[in-house]
Amino acid sequence: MDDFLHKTIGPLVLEKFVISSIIVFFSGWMVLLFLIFGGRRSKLKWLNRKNDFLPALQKELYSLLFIDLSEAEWDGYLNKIKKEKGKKEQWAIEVLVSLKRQYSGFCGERIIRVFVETGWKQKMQKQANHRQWNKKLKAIRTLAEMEQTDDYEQIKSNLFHSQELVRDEVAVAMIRLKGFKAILDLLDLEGEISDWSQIQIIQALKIQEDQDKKWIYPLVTHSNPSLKKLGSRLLVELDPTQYVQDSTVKTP
Amino acid sequence: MNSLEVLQFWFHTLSISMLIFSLLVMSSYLLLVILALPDLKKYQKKNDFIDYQPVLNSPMAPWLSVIAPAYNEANSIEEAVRSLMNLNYHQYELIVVNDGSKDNTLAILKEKYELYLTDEEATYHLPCANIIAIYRSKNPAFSKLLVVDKVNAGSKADAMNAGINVCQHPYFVAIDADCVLDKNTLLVLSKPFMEHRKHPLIATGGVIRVANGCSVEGGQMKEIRVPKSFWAKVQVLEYLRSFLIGRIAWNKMDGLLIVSGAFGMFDKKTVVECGGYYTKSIGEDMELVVRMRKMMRNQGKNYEIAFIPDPLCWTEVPGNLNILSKQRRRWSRGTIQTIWLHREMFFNPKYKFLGLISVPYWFFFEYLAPMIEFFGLFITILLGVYGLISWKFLILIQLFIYSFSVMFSLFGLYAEEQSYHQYSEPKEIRKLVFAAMLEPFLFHPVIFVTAIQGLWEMLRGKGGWAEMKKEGFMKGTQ
Repeated sequence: MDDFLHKTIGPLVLEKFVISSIIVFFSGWMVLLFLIFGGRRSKLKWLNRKNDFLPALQKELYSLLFIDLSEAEWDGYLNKIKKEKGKKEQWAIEVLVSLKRQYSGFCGERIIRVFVETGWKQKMQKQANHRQWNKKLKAIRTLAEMEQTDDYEQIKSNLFHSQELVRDEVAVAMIRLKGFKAILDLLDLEGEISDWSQIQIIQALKIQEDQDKKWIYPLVTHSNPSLKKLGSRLLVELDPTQYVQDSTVKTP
Repeated sequence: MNSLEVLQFWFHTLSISMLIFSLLVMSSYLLLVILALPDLKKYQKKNDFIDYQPVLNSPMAPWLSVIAPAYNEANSIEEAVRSLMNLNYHQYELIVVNDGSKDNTLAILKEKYELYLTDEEATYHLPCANIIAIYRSKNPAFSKLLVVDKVNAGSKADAMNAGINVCQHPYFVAIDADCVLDKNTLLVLSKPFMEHRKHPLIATGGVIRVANGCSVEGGQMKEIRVPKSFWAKVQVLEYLRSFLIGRIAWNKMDGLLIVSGAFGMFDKKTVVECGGYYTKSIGEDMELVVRMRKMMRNQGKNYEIAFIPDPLCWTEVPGNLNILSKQRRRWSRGTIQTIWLHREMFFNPKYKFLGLISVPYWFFFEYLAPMIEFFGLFITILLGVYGLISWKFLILIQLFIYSFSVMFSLFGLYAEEQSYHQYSEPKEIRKLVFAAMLEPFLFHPVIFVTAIQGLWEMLRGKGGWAEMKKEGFMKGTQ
């Protein structure tokens, strides 16, 4: 019995199987090494491009946001930014959104003007109808952070989206855009709003100029437990005296 | 049938069994890859562009107690506590449990954080050794800090139970005092507790990354590099495979059996209800999760466990063979002890996926795999020596196992590259690829030997924690 396994399993079958597997595994190595190093190279390339691009962008944005420019100068800087496409455009939008989180008032208005005049607003409006939920979600968030109140209805139309993450984002966006008045539209919601989004909603309402708290009460008595919880939390956060007086409202 | 034929028959049966076992292990690993990679991508898509700011300032985020047991941590305790007190989160308390340290850990804490002895008394919901004293800081800047001094009972589980006994909040985060945490750790870890869930969440597990070779400044990772030591390098690969592939995939299948003791968040009520950490446990993290899941199933309650792949927690792994061996023997004893303690779950349909797949998989494919791998090697060499298989075939079999082993490590690296790519320089990746090529020759034998030693120690009744000497990286570049 010189080759025991061959005789029992079948001549050469095992050997063929092992050799083919080795070839497959080594091919797997090659593909993975290519993907790992190729991916790394590509990421480093993009990182370098980003590192080159961001200071230039910040310089242009600084002029647009903080310096009084003539219309011609404004257009000049804006056209430079407008030219950016693809990833650079994406980075520029992200920078603008993060600036909007930091600045309000006059500067905030200029940020919004840049967002509109660069055409990024239209891009985001289009992206808000995207089939992929994550792209849709990002667009909705951007439009809300940029206070695009005229997009309220478009955003609201996603309130019954099949993805709960999108529904949550829409609820937060609606509040950001219309403040307490958006609560009226939220009353139609059948699903739940996660605690994560409820916190965002509460924080967004806290910074609203018009603290019209009467809109909270329909939430407190709502049949949807999630909305009821949101209402209770809003009372605790924004109107604690009323919360204490109203014995029907339970601690969230 | 003469005696030679009987011997040949048994060799044959064993060889075929080994081959089938190897194929099953390989297929299961590939299945884990197939499940993990898309899930990792999905997680990143979901959390891309996230703004933690509103939650950071909200008192409505879950209130947490961070419990950090410390035993002889005098070298790093001051820096570690400072780092743990500076995490971005609205409402948390930090409980440092001085587990009867023989060095001056407590004295350093008392001096540096201006501690005073309180008259607070712990309620012993969970079993633990005597709590000697509870300290708080006179300095309002350290108001989050609470130091528990207790008698050492020889296990981390006991120290964790002491921490749970004094903690005030509904959730607790278990961490090792010598870990470096990202500033946003608590925000990210608590996020799953605030998201949509079909069922209540009882725990969140996170990824542990290897800190050897990295530089730390102000309690934060400054520069991430591959360690110099070969043993630490292969553990980088091992952790990538285990966390970015294994745990993500098992979590997707709802079969995760372990949330690392060094980094996980738990629902305190569930932990207390199931009796807390088992103080005699060697692998207390795995044992707790298995017991929690078992209890929930026995009570007919639905629940979930989440897993977060973000690189948030960095720890020092054994950089030399001696310490590595001690650690692995303990892990081996811990695994076998947990499986033995919960042996009724084995192939028990009552526990569904957990009983039918997870626990048996853990035993056969995680615990026994290195032993079977080497037993298989031994048998094939024996077959070769006796001329029952050709040497050509023997080499092919070894090449078959080796090529798969390296490919699986490369999948781990690929997962890292596709997601967080923490090692920015290509030369760092090259070092890891090289380590992956050497790993089957050098690291696998160590795992095999320590698994056997651990089993032997367990059978001889050796328990408890072996003291792990660490080089320390908190105070600068290693």
